[in-house]
Amino acid sequence: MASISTHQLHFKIGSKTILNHIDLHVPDKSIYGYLGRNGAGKSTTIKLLLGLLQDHADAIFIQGHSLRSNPTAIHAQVGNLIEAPCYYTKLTVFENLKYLDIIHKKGNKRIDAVLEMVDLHREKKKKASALSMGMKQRLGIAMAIYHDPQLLILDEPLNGLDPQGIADMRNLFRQLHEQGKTIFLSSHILSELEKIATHIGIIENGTMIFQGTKNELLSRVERDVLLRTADPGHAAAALRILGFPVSDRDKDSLVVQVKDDQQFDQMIKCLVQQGVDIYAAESHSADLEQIFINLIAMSND
Amino acid sequence: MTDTYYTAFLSEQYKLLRNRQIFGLLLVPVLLILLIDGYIVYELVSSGTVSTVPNPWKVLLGRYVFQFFYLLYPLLVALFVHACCDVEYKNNNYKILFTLPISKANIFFSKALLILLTVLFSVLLAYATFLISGYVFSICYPELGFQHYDYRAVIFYTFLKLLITLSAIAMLQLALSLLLRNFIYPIGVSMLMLVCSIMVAQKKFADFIPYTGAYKAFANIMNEQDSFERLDYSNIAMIALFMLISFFLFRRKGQF
Repeated sequence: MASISTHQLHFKIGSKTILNHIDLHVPDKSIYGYLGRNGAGKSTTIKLLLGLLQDHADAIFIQGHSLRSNPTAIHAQVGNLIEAPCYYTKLTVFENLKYLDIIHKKGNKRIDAVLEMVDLHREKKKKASALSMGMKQRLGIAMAIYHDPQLLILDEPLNGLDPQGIADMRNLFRQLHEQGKTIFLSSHILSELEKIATHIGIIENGTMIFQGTKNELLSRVERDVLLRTADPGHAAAALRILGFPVSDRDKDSLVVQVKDDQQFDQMIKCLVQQGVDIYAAESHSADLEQIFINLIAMSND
Repeated sequence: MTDTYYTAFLSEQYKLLRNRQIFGLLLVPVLLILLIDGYIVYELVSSGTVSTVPNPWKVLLGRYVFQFFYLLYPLLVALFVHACCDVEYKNNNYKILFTLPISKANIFFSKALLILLTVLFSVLLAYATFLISGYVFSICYPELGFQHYDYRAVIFYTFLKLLITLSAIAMLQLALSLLLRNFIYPIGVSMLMLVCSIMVAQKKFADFIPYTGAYKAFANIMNEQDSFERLDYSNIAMIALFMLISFFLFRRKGQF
């Protein structure tokens, strides 16, 4: 079952189309990385998913239920953090969660557990306004996960965190994922998304240009294999006959582009059959950032 | 089931009780009456003589207290109501509010009820302090003559009408604060309306300006007016009208 699905989600402000018939499919128990450039429509999508913007066409379904028909029931199942963290400045860290506790009735033990999870337990008596930027972000995340929601929708949750904070949050997201939660995550820190996301969606100018598993995305892009061999000229000629693009060559190495593991295997077998001595084969996958930039460039061409 | 009016009310109350402005609204009128009490005692002690006045409830205590009240109370209410809205404006906390598993109607009407209850408690505290002041004077300074007059009915109706006026002002200010985020505009409108209402208080149409009620409270205590007038009925209607307008504006707030 999809945790989030949209059917031809369309959104306009005035005459400007912000989202153009998007079919989002976020599988249950996945970590879905939602990527896009500034102004691509990420935040608008998230606001629509949370009911902060009105979807007049009833195109959004959360856990199989229409958001338009069941907003309050769905909000009970969803935790969120949108852009900057929201919290009440005049309340302490504990009181901010206590406020949510009045609504969700999980008890003080849950408050302490959540503060422990985001490493804010030592600041529980501090006024929220007195927290550092990173701590405020942690408070925002604590408020998002407080009621143990099945689905977390997080827009730039790593903003303002130091490297240790980012690593902590990565572990927290993994932990929540292991508990069976679905996490819909938008972030500009692509290296982090690459580490934790199981699925990726890429939006450009309001249109989805890719949606699938991370492996599907990575397999779409050729990777470079650096071959160190005794006879690069002979190896390059043999590989070209089989249709492998050879992009670079010097006196003892060459770079070959392969699409997937099967092609890699085929290339090695071919070289062995041709009697080429291979000293080393180093595979360099394109990272998410490179893939993202390439896909955006392709969609704009 | 979390989406109940009671849950919404409790959560709003939790936030509001940690808002310092609530104590301003509750305590400043009481403090003002106590300061006037102090001034009366000072005058009495420093002059050493008692100038007899016909009805000290109105000429001595009522005159001073309501002169301050008609200028101060509407502004206090405006500040308090704006503070209630500002809590949500800061950090764009409407995003928290509108993603809670509580309907917008429950959230709004619990907010509105809390504002009205705070105004009620504030007026009740001021009313009690006013009465207690008079009784304390009648015991400690019998020469002032408070004990010779039974002014309770007029005092009760004056405070009741003041409560109705302030409730109408609170709902009007709620609409303004929901419409205009900046502190200056709702408070500025409140001050402007206050001055205008004093200028046009004698005109017939002034009955449809809620702020007139604050000025009329002063006239009521001085003229022993204890019957309901068109202004009071108009203010009751204004409470309902501006509550509905505020609800409409609150629902629209969800559209970021």
